[in-house]
Amino acid sequence: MDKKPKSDYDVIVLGFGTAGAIAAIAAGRMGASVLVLEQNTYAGGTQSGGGITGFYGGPPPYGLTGEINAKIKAAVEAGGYGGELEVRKWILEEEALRVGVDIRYETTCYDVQREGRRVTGVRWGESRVLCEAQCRVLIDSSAEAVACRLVGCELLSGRATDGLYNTFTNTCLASNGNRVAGLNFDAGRINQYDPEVFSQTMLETAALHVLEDYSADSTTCGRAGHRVALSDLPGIREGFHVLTEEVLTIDDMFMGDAAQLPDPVAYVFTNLDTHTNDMPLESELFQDWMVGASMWGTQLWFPVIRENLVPKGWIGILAAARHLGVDHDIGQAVRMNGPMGRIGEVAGVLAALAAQAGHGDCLVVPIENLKRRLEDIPDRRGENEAVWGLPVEAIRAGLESDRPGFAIWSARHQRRVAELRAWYADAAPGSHLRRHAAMALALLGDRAGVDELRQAVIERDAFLPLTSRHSNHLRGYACLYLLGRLRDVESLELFFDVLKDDAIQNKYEYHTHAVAALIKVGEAHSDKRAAIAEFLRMLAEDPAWELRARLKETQSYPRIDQLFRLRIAAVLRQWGVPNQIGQVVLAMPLNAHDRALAEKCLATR
Amino acid sequence: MKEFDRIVIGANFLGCGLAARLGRVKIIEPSCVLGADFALTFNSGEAWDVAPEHLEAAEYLSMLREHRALDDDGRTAVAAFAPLLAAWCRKRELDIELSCSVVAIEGQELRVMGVDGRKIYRAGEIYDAMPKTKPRKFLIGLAAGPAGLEDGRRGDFVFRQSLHPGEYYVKLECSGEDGWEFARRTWHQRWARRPEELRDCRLLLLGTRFDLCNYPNPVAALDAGLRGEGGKL
Repeated sequence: MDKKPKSDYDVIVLGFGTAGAIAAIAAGRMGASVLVLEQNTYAGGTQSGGGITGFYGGPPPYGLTGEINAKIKAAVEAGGYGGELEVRKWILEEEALRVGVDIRYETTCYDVQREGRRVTGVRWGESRVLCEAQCRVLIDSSAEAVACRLVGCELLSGRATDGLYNTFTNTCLASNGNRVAGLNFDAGRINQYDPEVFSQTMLETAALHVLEDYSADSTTCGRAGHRVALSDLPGIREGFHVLTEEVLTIDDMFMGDAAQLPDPVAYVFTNLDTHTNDMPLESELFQDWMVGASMWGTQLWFPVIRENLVPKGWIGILAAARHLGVDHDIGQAVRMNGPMGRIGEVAGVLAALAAQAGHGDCLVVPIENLKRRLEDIPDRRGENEAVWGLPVEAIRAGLESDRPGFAIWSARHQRRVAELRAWYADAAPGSHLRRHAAMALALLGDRAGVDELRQAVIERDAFLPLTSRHSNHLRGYACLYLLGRLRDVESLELFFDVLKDDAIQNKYEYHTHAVAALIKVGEAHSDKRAAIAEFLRMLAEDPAWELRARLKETQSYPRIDQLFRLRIAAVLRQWGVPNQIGQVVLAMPLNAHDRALAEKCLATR
Repeated sequence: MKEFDRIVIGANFLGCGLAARLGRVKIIEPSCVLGADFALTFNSGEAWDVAPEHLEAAEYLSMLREHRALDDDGRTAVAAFAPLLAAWCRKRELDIELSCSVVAIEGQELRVMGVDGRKIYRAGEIYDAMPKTKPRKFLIGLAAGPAGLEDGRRGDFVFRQSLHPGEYYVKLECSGEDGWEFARRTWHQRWARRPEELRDCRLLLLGTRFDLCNYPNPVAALDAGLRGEGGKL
């Protein structure tokens, strides 16, 4: 039977998902009065209704997430359940109820009340009635920054080149007869903040779940079984990030500053798990890691500090789900279940402390109080040294091997220019050592190995490093990327040749990296810009230039990538070069997402 | 404020049928799934032998059969309901806004929260196709177990085979007033005490919407919409 919510709470948690459920329980255990507002009908979010149960490698989850996960495992092992999804919903809900949390399902957050820069409460819709409650701290665990957007927090949006996010899934749940779990594939891109694009994309990609024969089992995403239901969560991996008091960036991680961050309240151990295949539109440092060194599967410890949860300039509100204060690149790591649970726990404890102190200001809570309550924060900063701290002998051995990633990255991190040049000079042309040394030098901005890089591109070097368990990048186009990184103007004809080669293996990767390389050279060498612009204009205006994107598990779903055409159009606009690229794109068969981008491209001419 | 000739609340089977009948309609749906009244409830439908009156509902019935989502014994694959309804709606170019919730209704104005934030929609006519509350409702689960269990009541639960051998839609009756916490707790507690013959059964999922039993199957709901059922506000 229904119990009416109170009018005042210490903490209101918006979103009862992977982070929010843990946040609510953590705050409740601290003795705070807690209200949860959930738009759906259950706890756990992506980790239950979205079918993604795992913690994605690394050590088992720790803290409250670990404790609850152990209860879920025990309940499943006791029998009667085919997998964790339903058990997770139930146990999270029971744990929250046990500590007095009020839960309101099927609610819609409509307004966030504030006095100046202090959040004071929430208004929400429930059964078509507007309700409201006051609070000392509002935890926005909506993932889509619903409360932060309503209150007017500053936001960060996607990657720098085009503002787009990681791909999404359109989630379906499947059973193998014993167990049910989510099918984790790629359905392309979506804009979850544009109602027309969002709705049309969801409807278009529902076609991925139209089967010829629903009565038959099949193998999807490497698992035998059959679909049992669509999820009522769309399977979105990334959206806005909130501009918080501090934002953790890829520079922090890879330029050496992260280890110096004061007072981490959580560490997350995972990889930069991008589903992006249009890698040349990502940041250069991200491509250095992914393409230059093929490090996709390498797990790292990412520190999170309290300030990553506090929206800049606001009091009484925390961002505690995948929209927390990290950049687009790092967002691809910390969005996982383990990190989200831990961040939820931090938010719940921090909010309870701030509320119980009466001020609701999470930044003035003594950090030692917070850390004491969180008990087991493992300090694993040193483990990243195993990735980029190889001794010089191991670097050389690694460069000679078919798993050169750690050695390339260690050489880059330690700036081993002298050693790399010496090894490069001594090694035979075409050898692993010489080619990988050239790649490491390029990551350091050193041109000593450009001849070898060019030769690798000319040969279409098909060596595939084995550094990652999958998603490694062929050395041929990795070297093409690195030549672009060096803004190597002498490779201009080579880049043109690659783009004229329509029969090239891995055309998508070679062509997109060549486009990116030309843009970089054009930006760095104004005397070459006109020739490059003319080549790119003709290429992008030619409807026959087709880039077939490969998406995980949805190869049969046609996806002709138009993003590079649109990227060329944007660059030519900056360079003052008239073009018809927008019209060319709009004349092609487009999905809702790309049509909206093309229309925007035309509108901003 | 955006203005529309007509708004239908609910892109469920009734709402989609109604919108196809009316034309020039904006449909707003709180979830991101079409046909939530069946697709998210695990209501696999019954009385499939009753032919729909409307040809367009019959077309959807044919789609279910063509895609082997419905067999001659009335066994169904609920997983087919939403994707095939999406295909049915796209063919008719229905204007559907997903993840858009009505927060309040004031005359001809709707306060809604969409993916782009809060906004006001105004329409000449507003139709409410959301399922109506009744004194009783069902929380339906999907369970796996030994193949060959016959349809029917077993303890507190009513079993119905799906299209897949050894997979069952399992109904538990609730009061119309029960909230999710109470209904879920009841389901799990009774599942723990299920009859001995069900010991080897495993609960896979529960529906994420209650089945309010407004229509016997999705085709009947679609047909009702196409015939003009659905409350005009």
